[in-house]
Amino acid sequence: MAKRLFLEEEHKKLNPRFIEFSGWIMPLEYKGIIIEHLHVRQKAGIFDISHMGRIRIRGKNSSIFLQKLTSNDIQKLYKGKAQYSLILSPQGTILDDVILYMIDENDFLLVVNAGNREKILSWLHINLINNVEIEDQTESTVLIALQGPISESILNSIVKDNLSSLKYYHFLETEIFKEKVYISRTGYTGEDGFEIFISNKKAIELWNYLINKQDIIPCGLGARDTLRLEMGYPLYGNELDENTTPWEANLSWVVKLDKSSDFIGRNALIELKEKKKKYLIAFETLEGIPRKDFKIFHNNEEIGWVTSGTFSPSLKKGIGLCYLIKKDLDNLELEIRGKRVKIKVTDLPFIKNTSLRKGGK
Amino acid sequence: MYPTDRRYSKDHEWAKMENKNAIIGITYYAQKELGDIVYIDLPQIGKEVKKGEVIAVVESVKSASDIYSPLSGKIIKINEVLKEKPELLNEDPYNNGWIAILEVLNPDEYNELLSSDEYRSLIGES
Repeated sequence: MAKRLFLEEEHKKLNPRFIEFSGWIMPLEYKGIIIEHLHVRQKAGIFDISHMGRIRIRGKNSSIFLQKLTSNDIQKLYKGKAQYSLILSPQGTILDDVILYMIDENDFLLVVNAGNREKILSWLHINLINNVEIEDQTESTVLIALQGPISESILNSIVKDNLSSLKYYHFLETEIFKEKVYISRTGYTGEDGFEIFISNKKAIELWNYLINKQDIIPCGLGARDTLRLEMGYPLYGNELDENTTPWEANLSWVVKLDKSSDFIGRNALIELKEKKKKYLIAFETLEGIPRKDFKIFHNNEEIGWVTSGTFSPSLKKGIGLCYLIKKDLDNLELEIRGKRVKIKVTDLPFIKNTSLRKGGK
Repeated sequence: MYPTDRRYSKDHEWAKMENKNAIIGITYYAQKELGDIVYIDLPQIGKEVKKGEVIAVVESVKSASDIYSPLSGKIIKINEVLKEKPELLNEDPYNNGWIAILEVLNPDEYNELLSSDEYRSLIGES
């Protein structure tokens, strides 16, 4: 049975459209995807992303354990630092893309995709070593993302510590409404913003405070998807899956082959480095809107498929990501309902000059 | 929301007769369910369609949806303005957001469509 958000009753008061996503009943849109999307780019929006899996990993061998289970280098983490990373199969393909937070030397929080939570929990248990404890904290806390250029000034009025010195991909333990929270400067929109881990007890108060703030609107999964796609951020199940290597997904920057110890998938990745079976490419359309699984042609030969596609609310045209089995980037065509239209290969991100980059934090 | 000068299909399209032709569009309910419409694939002028066949495809940010012809006939005019302003389908579904004009093949089909009251009861708004 589908899981329910702790804040579902609060969402219902706002009358959103709901969809089922990765086994959760989630708000898709409140006032409309375009309004919500543009509001995040211009001001700020809040998202209930409590469906994301949150797994606490503690114990004196936890960093040895995580160094073996993830592709990025744990030694680059320090207290208060977050790290984007991958959990790989022994074959070097992607089991999940994750964010790892170092709370203390022997205390980590792993945020995994909702649809992979059970799979990753059992993978962690299969590979478990002594003196490591794993606790699934997903349903005892709420995770709220506040995203957009004015996020910092809004949060500063209710957070005990000042957030202006908190850098990108860093987090701190502080208080909101006298409740302990973790706030990280991370997000999935390309804008400056924060993700707030708060107890269920105080989550309703925080949610209602934020939605009643002028210049903030609640946003659903629809806008979350268009915002991430405008930045070219991959989504598990679309660009990433168990048939895809980090090399193919352009994620070599989170694979540290030379780190202090071996990790699951490393040997396979060394072997596969020069053997890409597909190339991840970004494109825009001149007419029509690309959708997942639409086919890509080059001189009438089918050479690829769309992994994510949408109408870009910022650019007002179709944008997408696709895998191509050959790196032929000229004269590509997309098949939309039997009709071929030209596409133009572009660089990522689709949207430049967002508040995230301007801030340089 | 559901003017009485036209009739409605169960698939949420409307048809309004003008002499022997019918203007075709989508209902207020349909546009609300679809969300922000950002693109429309219009049919070719001269195309013959049967009742219930796909006459157009509208796309919201999230997905594409088929629009079915409520009547059989030949398309004699399409609303070209929608190519540039698909949002008219949301803002003004009964007037400026019309989709196509059909030369109606079988006028009896029009009478088989739902009245405003019947349509409202179908969507639970009566």
